Amino acid sequence: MKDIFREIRKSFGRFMSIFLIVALGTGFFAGIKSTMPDMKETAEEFFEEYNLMDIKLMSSVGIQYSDLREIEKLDGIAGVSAAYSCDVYYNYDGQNQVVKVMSYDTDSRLDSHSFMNRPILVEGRLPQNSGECVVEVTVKTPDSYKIGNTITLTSPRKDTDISELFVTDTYEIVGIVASPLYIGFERDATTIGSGYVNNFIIIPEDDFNMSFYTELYIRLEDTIGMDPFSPEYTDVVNEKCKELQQKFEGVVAQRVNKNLGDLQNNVTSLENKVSQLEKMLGLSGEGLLLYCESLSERIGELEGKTDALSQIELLQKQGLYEQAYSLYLARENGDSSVDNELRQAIEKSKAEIEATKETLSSFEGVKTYGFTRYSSDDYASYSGDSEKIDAIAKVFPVFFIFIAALVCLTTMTRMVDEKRIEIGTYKALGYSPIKIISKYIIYATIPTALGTLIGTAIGFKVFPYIIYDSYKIMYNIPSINTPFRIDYAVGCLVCALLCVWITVFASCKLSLSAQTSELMRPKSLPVGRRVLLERVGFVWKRLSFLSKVTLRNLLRYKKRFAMTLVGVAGCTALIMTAFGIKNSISKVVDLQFDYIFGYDAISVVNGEEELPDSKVEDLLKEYEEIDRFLLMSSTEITVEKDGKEQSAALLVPKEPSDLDSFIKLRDAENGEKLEVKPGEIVITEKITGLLGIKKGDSVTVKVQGKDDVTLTVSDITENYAMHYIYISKEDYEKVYGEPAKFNQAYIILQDNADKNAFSASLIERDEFLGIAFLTDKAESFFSSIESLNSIVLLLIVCAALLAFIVLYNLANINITERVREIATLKVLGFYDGETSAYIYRENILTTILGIVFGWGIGLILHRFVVHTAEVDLVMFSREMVWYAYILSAVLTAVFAVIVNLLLHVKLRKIDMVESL
Amino acid sequence: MSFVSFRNVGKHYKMGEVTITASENVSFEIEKGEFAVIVGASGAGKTTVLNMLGGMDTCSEGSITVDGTDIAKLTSKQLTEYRRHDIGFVFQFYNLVNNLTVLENVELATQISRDAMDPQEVLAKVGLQERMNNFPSQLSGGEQQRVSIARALAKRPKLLLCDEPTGALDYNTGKTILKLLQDTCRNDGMTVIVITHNQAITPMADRIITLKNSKVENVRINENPTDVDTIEW
Repeated sequence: MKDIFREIRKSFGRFMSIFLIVALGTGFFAGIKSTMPDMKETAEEFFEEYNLMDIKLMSSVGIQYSDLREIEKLDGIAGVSAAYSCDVYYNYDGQNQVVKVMSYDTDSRLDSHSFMNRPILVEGRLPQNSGECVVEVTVKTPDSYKIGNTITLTSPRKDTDISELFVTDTYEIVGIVASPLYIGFERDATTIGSGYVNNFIIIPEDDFNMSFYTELYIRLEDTIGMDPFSPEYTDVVNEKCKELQQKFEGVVAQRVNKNLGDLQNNVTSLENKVSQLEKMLGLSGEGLLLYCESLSERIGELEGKTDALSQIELLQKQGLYEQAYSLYLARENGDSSVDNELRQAIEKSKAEIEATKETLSSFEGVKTYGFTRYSSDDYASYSGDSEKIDAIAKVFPVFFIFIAALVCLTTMTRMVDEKRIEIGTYKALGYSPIKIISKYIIYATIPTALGTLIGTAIGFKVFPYIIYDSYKIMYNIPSINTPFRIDYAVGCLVCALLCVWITVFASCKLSLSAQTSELMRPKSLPVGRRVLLERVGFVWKRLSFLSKVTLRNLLRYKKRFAMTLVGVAGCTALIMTAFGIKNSISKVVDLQFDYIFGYDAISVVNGEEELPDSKVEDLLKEYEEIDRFLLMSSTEITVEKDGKEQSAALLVPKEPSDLDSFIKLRDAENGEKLEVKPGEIVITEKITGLLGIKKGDSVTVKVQGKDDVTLTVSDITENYAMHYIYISKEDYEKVYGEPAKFNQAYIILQDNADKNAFSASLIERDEFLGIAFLTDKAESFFSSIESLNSIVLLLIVCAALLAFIVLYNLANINITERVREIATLKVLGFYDGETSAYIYRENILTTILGIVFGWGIGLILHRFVVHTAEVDLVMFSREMVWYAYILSAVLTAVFAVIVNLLLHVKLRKIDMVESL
Repeated sequence: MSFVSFRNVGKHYKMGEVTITASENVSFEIEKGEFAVIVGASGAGKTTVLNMLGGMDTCSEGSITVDGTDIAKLTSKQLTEYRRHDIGFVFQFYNLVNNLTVLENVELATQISRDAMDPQEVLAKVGLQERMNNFPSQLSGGEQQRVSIARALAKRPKLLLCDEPTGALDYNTGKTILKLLQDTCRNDGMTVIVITHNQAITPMADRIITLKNSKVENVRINENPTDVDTIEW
């Protein structure tokens, strides 16, 4: 043991290089590999803690408490709760923001599974009293969302007063919260305003004035404690959702039918009453008396009976008798007031009959909707994002581990080679081979084990944290849990140790099998060999003497040459990939918001005003600031193909011929200009990849409140952010049976237009709901993807570390192996510079070759990473930017130069006496 | 003044607290064109003298003059130049670059010196014109040492320093190498200094410097050096 520690102290450089490369390799691997489970487990705990619903049920006729009681009785339900929600306006800074108001049951018990989607308190407290609310704060929410401020809500519909929805319209903000229902940027689509919910607020349940609940949230017994991203979860929930929705539909339909029956009965009895009254009025004095008599007879018969029907009839008949008799008496006195009273009563009843009949006829039947967590795109994309990192983990870290293994291999082989004489001595002294080998095994085990332990411990913390940090902007799940994963660490340790042990064993075996006497002599260097190039006389002759030497040396140590090449190429490839990704990402903004989108702003037309299109056009023409505009119909849709879904927007231009200056449609493959013509349906590129759509395929398009339709894709257009389907107004009318409502105006402003003044004056008008400038959109979009920068930086740092360790280690071995040769050169009178150059020439050549190789690998790696790192809504540019080539080469060269400078010092220190 | 002269040269190494004296008050002279042998048992200080004379190490005190230059006063850069142009070195283990052919090994030296001989000519001189394009590993020990000598001579040095040139060779081969060195001295007027522990070689030298315990024991001039063929060990 003492011998080993002395050995470590003596060869600290070697010890450290094994330690560092093992730490880097295993740390990188374990870190990236643990990111997916870390992210998923963090989310799982988060969902569990805040009790996110499994299933949400809604119906076209709302939900009553009795429905909840029925659902509660079913099997497999862990918790169920009913809630209100309502989309209204909050006017901020002259613009109507769509706010989703949700209810919060102030009496909820924290230990109950029925208390779902618990708000996560970020600041302040939860609402307790009427008139209090909590809000969410994101980049999109108004600046007025601060604790202590009050907000006033307005009704989105002219015919509905806000008091019909809420007890009060003014709420004081008492806290800032997040909701497990919204883990990402996306809020729900809505039928009012811009079509998107901007943010949600939560108020006490009692502040809702609505006559029915809007949502029923359900937590299933089977899914408690289940991994929410596992396929089993999806299976269980999907199946249960279908089943519950059916039962729910039954429950609601039964309730509604009962109500409908009551209404129908009401109509019948009213009609009966009207006919009796009309009959009464038509009778003269004598007839009226006879009528009274027949009534009193019937009354007499009924009085004896006790059943309910008879009692009801008795009451009716008694009423009629009184009315008829008072009519008779009045007429006898020549008084017509009772006549008038009765006529009024008839009119009133007739009106009531009409109203009820209309209600009955306009009733479209009960529609129910079932949703799961996956109905939120953000939920699915969170899972997808974590899996993408896992995909990256398949390439990068494996690459690192591969290099680490190679470095350990050369280092340990070198060590055993150096120790030949010692091994021979031990052998001569009669030590058993196992005893001799065990020294080297133990020597190698210490840095490997330490490296794995420290590497993984750091990797588990650092990598998930940095990667998650870049996703944090997109998801509001709180900070990530980064546990030390024993299983991964042990896996890494076993692999690393096996790798090192096998190396040591193999090289020791080779030395041990040699004759003891042979071991006592220094190992001869590999014999000189001619390289292939020498056969090509005309090239070889032209080379300078030193280049010949360099070439021959490079090819003499093939293993080391190959490894250096791999190390340098890896470094270049990583840096190139990092810059490439950065460019691919930031280029999206340029391409999408500068090249493809030519408009400056979109203004949303107020649908409530029911304006004819020509009126809107006239209004817009009045603005001097506007250069051109195009009316467009935009609908939030869900596109489905083979069971896979993606959100998109369906755009219908009013004047397709004008579209090109607002949105460029270019064929994704050949760049040809595309047009939106009847029969031509154009879809954006990325969604075709996600759903596997090809030209000529049919897709199902779902719109809330409308029937699903099928569209056949005829063209695919270049596009980098979001998904769109463009169709002509003729096609729209054909599939939906109604003309498209042009609810947006795409605007191109004059070059010198004052944006602020223009937007202020436009918002003031009731005809427009608001205006969104493209520059703002581009900015917020950019900031969300810019977060990937930290991953880029991470890659560069790792690449640099890798390059340093590999280059230094190999160059170091190169030198120690050739000390005698170098010392001889010095004795021959080579200057320090010349001696270094003699070695450097090899390094430089390897570096240059490595860089060229690295470019090739980098191209492939970049393509792969771009493909896997993309979020669903975005398509990164596939092209490799020119400066990535240059920067990767320059940085690699800089690293190589630094390593070579360090070596120069080492070379100078070589004593010439070594040559003797 | 003599071509080579050591005057009161001392060399001390500090190893921690202990000072080790490798050379003490070493003085001797060697004339131009002489064949000198520095002889001594191991540990007598031969290597230290060789290192200092070869410009591979500096002395702690005294002066070493070679062709009028006091190399004890040279900077490390000047020492390199001195090695480059003035010294030809023959190693015990030949120290050929394995990866270079015989010719290239010679070229390794000639391409850095000012007034080099034609490599092929030198190789012909040592009798290796046939093996020029072989690699060192394809040659015998004696042949390798001849390449080493050719490499040293090709630079046209002022001084040929040989460190145990026969140490790794068998008797007969050793003899031919010594013959080559002697001929070089006699025919070309080269100053040759051989460092060895082998007393048997001394009769062939013009001057014998015996070292013992880091000091010069005696310096003997041999008026009638014998031919290599006649000496035996």
